[in-house]
Amino acid sequence: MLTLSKHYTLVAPIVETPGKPPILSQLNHANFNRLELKIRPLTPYKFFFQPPSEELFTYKLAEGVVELGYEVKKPENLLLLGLRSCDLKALEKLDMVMLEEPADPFYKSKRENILLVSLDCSEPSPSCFCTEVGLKPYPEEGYDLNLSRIEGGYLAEAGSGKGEELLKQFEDLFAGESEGQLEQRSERREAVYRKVKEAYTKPLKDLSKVGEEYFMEFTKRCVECSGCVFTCPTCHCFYISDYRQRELGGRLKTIDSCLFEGFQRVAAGVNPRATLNSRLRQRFLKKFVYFKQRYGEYGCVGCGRCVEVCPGEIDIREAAGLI
Amino acid sequence: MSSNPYLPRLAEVLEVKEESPEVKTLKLKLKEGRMKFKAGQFLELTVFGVGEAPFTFSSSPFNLESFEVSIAKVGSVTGAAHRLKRGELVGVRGPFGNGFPLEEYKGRDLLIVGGGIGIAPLRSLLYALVAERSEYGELKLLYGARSPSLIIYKDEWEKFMEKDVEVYLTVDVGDETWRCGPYGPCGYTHVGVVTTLFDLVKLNPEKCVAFVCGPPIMIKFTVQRLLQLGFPASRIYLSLERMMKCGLGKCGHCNIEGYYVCKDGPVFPFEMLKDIPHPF
Ligand SMILES: Cc1cc2nc3c(=O)[nH]c(=O)nc-3n(C[C@H](O)[C@H](O)[C@H](O)COP(=O)(O)OP(=O)(O)OC[C@H]3O[C@@H](n4cnc5c(N)ncnc54)[C@H](O)[C@@H]3O)c2cc1C
Ligand code: SF4
Ligand code: FES
Repeated sequence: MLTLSKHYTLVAPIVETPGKPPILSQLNHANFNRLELKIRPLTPYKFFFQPPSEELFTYKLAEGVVELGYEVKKPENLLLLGLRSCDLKALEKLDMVMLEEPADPFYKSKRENILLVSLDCSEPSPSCFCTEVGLKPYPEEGYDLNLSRIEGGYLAEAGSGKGEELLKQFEDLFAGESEGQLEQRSERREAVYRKVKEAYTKPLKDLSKVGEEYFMEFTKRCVECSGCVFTCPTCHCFYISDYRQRELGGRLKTIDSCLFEGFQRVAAGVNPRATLNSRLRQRFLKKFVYFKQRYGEYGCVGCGRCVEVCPGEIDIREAAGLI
Repeated sequence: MSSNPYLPRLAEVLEVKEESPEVKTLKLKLKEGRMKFKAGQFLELTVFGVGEAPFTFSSSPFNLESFEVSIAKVGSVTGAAHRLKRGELVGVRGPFGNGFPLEEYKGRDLLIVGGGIGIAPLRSLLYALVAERSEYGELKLLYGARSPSLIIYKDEWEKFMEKDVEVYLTVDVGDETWRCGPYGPCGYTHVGVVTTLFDLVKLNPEKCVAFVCGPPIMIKFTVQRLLQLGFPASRIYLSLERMMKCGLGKCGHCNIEGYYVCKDGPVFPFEMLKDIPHPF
């Protein structure tokens, strides 16, 4: 990995506080020994594609003229390491929104240029429920390179032309695989799949059929921090605002949350989703009903991050009827 | 450079018209190219240095030389839009949204109901209809504002009447000017909320399609009344508003349950909304 980090800016799950889940950081010599590849990071990977704040364009005002400009930056040699099947799937779902015509060029450029090195899950977190939203705990597509832990090392598989190049470029790092190793990978994959699957016995509830009051017991515990939204790998909502300094100005796209009270409040204070219950309901339904209506799939990938960060101990699995 | 859907196109303010103490109509022209839109669609208007906000086109979609938006002053962008002068440059993105489904309703009677600034998209609709007047049956407009001075497009209603549109106007609270106004065959002395105008018109719900735009409370009561009269939910069209940012179906701000007002709307048949807890 350190060899890779000489050629790439390598971002990976790092344990910053012993005993706490890893978060995403740039890998270097100093933190290399805290690289954690077994447990999925608490930070979602989405911020590398949808940064918390990004400039959409700038303008310059002069007498009778307005000069507009923008720059779609191309990330150079950025490699994200440690994405799981759910993280890759989450990016696919973000693609459905952000690349739908007219595509967001800022997002698109990052998607086209950032290298993704994924991993089979070996130690799913107790909050993981990917199997219940139709995923496998190992990547099947969407990666440049996927690494599967087996006895004595990793099996590497390229999933794109760039992944092939990476394999070639670092040939000496990746030894060829043998028949037995592939078998071992299948066995491990199957075992992890069963482990997650068997934790759940109840089917997903059809949330389109429950009344608004169903969500009240969750609403009572919500402190409106939006931790769930910001760690969710598929939440994509953003705000747009302007800044100006004298004749120069610009417009920013910034991170936002549908749970914030002001999310839909308009001029004169009218607010169609004034109650927290209506906002929490919207979020749950977006994941399990609306996203599916619109894009044909659930908006949730079952990564369990929101379950881990919620100070109100609100468990999306409980809302969805799984536990 | 790849294209950037967040980037506005520049337009020049050709004219600013004060419609009422609260509303101004801006006539705009793109610096390059033409704005092709359908009645009921909207644009995102940038006042540089302040911000961007959505407004429906209020002018005829058949006029490709320039286009208009009518803006009620309620906050920062609308306030800055009211300070714009002839010759100044603004930014526009769009057209966005679906517009009124006029093609489907050729030959039908149309009832148009507007409240407050909600009359803006309906003015565009009316211009589209009278441009092809013979294609439609009876056209009736019910329009209400809070007070006589807030009735906008004052000099245009008679012209619509000349084009065989029945115009009925009302105000919540009248004053002496309301008595002498020449607006509408009988509506000009009418006082009461928009739904009280229903008592003055004869409608044939079998043949008729309704288009409604206005504040949430007005939409609610108008829909109730239309349903009572026997209009099917599929032939009641509402032009709705929600907080909007991107206009592209990405930022999530404008959603009503699973719909995005900026893409699936702003015009919705009530049929699509009737099972939703709080659609307006
Ligand atoms: C599809 C559509 C069509 C509209 N057509 C018209 C029209 O023809 N004429 C008219 O006067 N008004 C119209 N509105 C309402 C108009 O967009 C708001 O009055 C305006 O955004 C208020 O902006 P502000 O900056 O003055 O207010 P502030 O309260 O200062 O708002 C700040 C920001 O919030 C957002 N915002 C606030 N209120 C609204 C709102 N009601 N709808 C959407 N975003 C909002 C805007 O992005 C705005 O930049 C329309 C709204 C929508 C959604
Ligand atoms: S993390 Fe929990 S408390 Fe915070 S907004 Fe989400 S549901 Fe509410
Ligand atoms: S305004 Fe952004 S999704 Fe509709």
